[in-house]
Amino acid sequence: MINENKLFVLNDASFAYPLEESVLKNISIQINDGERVCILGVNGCGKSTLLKLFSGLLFPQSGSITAFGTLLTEKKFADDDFSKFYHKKVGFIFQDSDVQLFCSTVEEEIAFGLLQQGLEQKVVTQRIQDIVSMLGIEYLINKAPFKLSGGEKKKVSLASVLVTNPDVLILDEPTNGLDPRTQNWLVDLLVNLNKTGKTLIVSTHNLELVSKISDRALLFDENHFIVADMQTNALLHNSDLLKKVNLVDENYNI
Amino acid sequence: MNNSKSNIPEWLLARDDTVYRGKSHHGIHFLKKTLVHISQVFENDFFCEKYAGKASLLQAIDPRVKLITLIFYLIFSSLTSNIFLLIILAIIPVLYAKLSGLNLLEYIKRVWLYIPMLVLIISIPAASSLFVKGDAIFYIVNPNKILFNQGIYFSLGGIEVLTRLFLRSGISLSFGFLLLLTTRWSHLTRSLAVMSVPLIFISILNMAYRYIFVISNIANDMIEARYLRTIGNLKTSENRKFMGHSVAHLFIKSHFLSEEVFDAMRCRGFTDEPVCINSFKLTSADLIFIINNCLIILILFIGVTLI
Repeated sequence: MINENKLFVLNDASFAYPLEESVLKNISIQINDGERVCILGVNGCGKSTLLKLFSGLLFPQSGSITAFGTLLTEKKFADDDFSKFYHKKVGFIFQDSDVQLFCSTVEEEIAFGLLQQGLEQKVVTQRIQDIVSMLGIEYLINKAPFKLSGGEKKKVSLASVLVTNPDVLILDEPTNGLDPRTQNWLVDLLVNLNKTGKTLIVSTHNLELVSKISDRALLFDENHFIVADMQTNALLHNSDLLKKVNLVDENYNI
Repeated sequence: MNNSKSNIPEWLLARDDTVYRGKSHHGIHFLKKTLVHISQVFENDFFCEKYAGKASLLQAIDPRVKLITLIFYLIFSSLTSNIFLLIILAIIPVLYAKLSGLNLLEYIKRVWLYIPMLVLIISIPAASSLFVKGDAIFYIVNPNKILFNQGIYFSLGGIEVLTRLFLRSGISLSFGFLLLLTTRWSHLTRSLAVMSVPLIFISILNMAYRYIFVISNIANDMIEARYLRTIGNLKTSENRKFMGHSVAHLFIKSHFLSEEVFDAMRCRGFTDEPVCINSFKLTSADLIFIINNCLIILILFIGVTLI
């Protein structure tokens, strides 16, 4: 499974929130450049925590995580230059868009990451125009984020991350609360972004979606272990395994 | 399906036979009132947004110019003690409001009806002869009484002090409201950056403004849910308990929210150095506005020195 293009390597990593039981137990996986990976599992199994590990927001208490050939530690992220480099490379789209939209207008929201990188005002303005035009959200540019609909908020969240052109896109339950049309739009966008070489890591419950946006699936059980790491289609056809981890019931039919 | 139906208790399968027996729910009024108060938070914002988006005089002026002009007017009004000039300074924002397409009645009501009136009322004792001596105009307590040999009265000087306080608070509010109603919040905070207000302060201000709506939404949902499930009378003690729980819940929720927001900021490269986009450009309209206001202030200044 060793690959020259490896992006993330987790080696026996475990994590527990303070005063709580472990939410990740002895995770050893490798994610390669340009892959499309989905993470499946029931609520509370550790999917979001794993995504936060990839994003450099949390660090394993035992074991290790390496990204772009560098061991990720809290100390490493105390270096502002490394932190900026890493977050330029890895974009994280939160499940709750309200968390991600903290500026007072859509324009400022999209500009936030670019300004943190120290880009010139002219470049920032041009990039904003390009990204809102690509996502068809020009009409939202002067609006306050709290006045947007769920789908609009998701589009702005995506714009605010994509505008920095990250190599890796991490999405936590991206289709939650979206109408079918916006879901399809999002799937098409993610597929196209992957074709340009971006790595996709997506956590979701949406089993109809996973085969469209991923080739590889990681399956968590309720005990916070990864019990399967296989091709998405193969996993979707393994109904016994999906039932065993309580992700589907007896009515499941692919 | 049959299996799941068999798990449903008997009472849940029966149709509800509740009938309307007239009004009796006095206890839920506080929920309605709270909902109204929360909706006012949104209403105020929509009110500001409605005027800020208009294509009228002040809306077309650069927010930095407006902010600096406002500060000059406020400094001028605090330096002058001439009541006639203060009245003129109180009229200027009303004229600007009219030229900017604001609803004058609503504007004047919001500005002059509450805070200046309150200032006026609470300042009345300070304007009496207990603090400001002079020739009596009218007495509250007549002279030669046991405790007050000279009585308590209002002099011309006292009335002038009272009028100045009333006018100054009104003028400050007038210009403040004018700025708020004709400028988008984001533009306003960006123009604060030009005034060298620390960016960290502006960021906190912006986030507080942004999340007050998110928290208000959560509070609104909680109270609506409670309102919909409130059948029958609620005791005052129950109301207090519910409000206490709600406050605690919101506090915990906002704490988690703040952690998540900070994570989201870090994910976009935030390293405790706030930054601000600056897309303002001065136009000829701004220059005309500056010259116009300089002339007004100059005329008023000459007026002060002549009087």
